[in-house]
Amino acid sequence: MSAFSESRKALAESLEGIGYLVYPYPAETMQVPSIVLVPNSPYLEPITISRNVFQQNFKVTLMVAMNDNQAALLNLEDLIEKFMDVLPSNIKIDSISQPSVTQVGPSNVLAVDASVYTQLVKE
Amino acid sequence: MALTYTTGHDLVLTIKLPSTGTAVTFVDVCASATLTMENEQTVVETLSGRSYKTTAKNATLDVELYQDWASTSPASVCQALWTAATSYPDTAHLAVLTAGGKTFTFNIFPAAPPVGGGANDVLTTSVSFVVEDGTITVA
Repeated sequence: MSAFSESRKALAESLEGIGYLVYPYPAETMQVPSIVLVPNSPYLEPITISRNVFQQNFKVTLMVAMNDNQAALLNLEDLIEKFMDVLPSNIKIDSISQPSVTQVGPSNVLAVDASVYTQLVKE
Repeated sequence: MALTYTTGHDLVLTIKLPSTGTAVTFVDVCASATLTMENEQTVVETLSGRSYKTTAKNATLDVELYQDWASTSPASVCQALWTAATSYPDTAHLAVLTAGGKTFTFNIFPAAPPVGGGANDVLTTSVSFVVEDGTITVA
């Protein structure tokens, strides 16, 4: 398994530690609360003059049910805090977007996108 | 030889530091490396016009590094530079920069990399090394 796959897998396993569903891709129907982990753009950036060291960027979408506006925001903030607590030390948070209402399948969810990254040496 | 375009990824920089005893390769922590050579030129105004005389050469190697203080495998480049700057400040060290198919060989005096940075930034540091006598051999 490549260093990139191992890094992505380690992040997914850490997120599963929250106890919510973690989707490795945006599925057609998704239960909430849940987390979607996808590569961000650019996914991989060479950062040194060698071609061995890369910054690997991910987008992590955190979603909760949008039944009641105030409660949904509280639930989302709880999820954000749990997300920050389980992140491995080598994963850095770049930013977390403004919460927004998104339609997933038949239902609305309140979601934020967290941009995170890590730096690793290609094997 | 036909013209080939190169990028920063084609650079290779090694510095032989006494603290490590061997040539340290910078390619895995180095974000950029620039070797600059300038002539120190005196302009003399004479009755017959201007006359130019180069009296000295000055050169610097400017390097931007990712801070790798805690790294043991590979050994920290920042730590090695710090040790060289504090223990051997007046000893020139052999440096070799390969760029565009040419090898630039020169001696530099060590400099300690600045430590720290912004909260949200990946920590980098910029080091400017003085080249001994401004002398660079190109092969």
